Amino acid sequence: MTRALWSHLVKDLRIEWRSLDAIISMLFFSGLVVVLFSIAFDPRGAFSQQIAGGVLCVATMFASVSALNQAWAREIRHQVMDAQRMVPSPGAELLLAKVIVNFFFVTIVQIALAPFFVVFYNLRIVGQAWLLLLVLPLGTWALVSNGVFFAALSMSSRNRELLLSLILFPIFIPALLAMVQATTSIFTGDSDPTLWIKMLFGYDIIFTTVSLLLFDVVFHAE
Amino acid sequence: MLELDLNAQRGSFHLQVKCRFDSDWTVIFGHSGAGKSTLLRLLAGLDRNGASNALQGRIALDESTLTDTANGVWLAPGRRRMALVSQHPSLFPHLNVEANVAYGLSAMERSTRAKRVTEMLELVDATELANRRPQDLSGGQAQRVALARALAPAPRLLLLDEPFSALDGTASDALVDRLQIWLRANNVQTVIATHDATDAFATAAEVALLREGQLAAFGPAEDVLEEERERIVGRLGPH
Repeated sequence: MTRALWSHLVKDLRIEWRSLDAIISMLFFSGLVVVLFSIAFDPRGAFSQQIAGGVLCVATMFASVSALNQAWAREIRHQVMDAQRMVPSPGAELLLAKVIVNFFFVTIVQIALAPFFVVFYNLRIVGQAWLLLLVLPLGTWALVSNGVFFAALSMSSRNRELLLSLILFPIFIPALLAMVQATTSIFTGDSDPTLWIKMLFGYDIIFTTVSLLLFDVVFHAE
Repeated sequence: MLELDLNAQRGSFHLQVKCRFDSDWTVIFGHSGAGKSTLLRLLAGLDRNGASNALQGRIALDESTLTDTANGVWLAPGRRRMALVSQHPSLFPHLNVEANVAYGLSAMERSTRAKRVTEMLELVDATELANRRPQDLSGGQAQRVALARALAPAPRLLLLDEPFSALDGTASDALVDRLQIWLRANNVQTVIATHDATDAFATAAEVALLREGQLAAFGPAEDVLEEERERIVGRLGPH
């Protein structure tokens, strides 16, 4: 890991540690989604297993947007983007650091959501539960790697928060579909989630590579 | 040697400049809105063609072409060996002064980096600020640190956009004197944008006079700024 990447990583973790802004707002929002869905659908037994995957993924997706919208906010607020651009190091390191940090934040939120699911959805995992350790990180990475990239793309826009959702959600649909299908397969044990996991893996490789390659263009654009 | 031939549209503002800066200390003089900051940002590569902005032309530093729109050449700001210091110091708020100055030196070894940071802080007379946070600095101190951060990666060209506006006259003069000696010794060409004519006279600079985005005059300060000099002397009165 290069020094610049490490420096960005430590900076964002330290700032979040001081305020916990992103994590708290994501926790409240996703917690609320989970509770509201449980009230609306009164999930029990097999029905609970069928909708839990979708609820988890959608809650994660909407909650992440609040953090992703703030991904570049501090740099903009302190007017340090120009200083970042003048540094002789690849912009991809900055992107990667932001993706790793946001991945970490969203993972914390997903771990914190687990007890909610047990309580509100009476969830019993029938399939291979350990596969969740693959599906959730792969889906989360797909979400944050695209999210941080598109947050940078919409940085100079006046309606950047709206723009991020408008661009991110349609592009995230294939990964969301794979994530929901794989999670539901694991919860119900009805089918094999391997194909969906492979699809998530492929999606992550393609979109992460493209984001890293194109980031310098986005970063240096007005 | 910096060569530029630029034709840029920024909204309704049109900037057209064609000249060659041979001197090691060049002042871009102009009143507010004349296009000084726009020109420096174009030189630094921070402004490019965009939805409402158009840029045509060429920028070359020594033998290297930095921007050439006709041939699709555009070098990223971090690869131009340039540094830009503006009125707003834009220090990284989460890093102390020492870490701010070391920010662009990630490729250096730890001991070389520490030595370089110390040298830069001594140059701008900010050694005692090394462990302070940007929020604990005055405007003038922050500007000095921003200058140290800009010079640390050893740029070939230093762009200064009214960077001493928060320093009082004496402190600014002392810093400029020290800076000029260091820049000459280290072969760093400097372009400074200002609306204060005394900056140009005090540094015996070559002056490019900008008026509404056009290069109105170019040459020694005594010739280019004669009118401005008379205006200042007239305002000071006979005593």
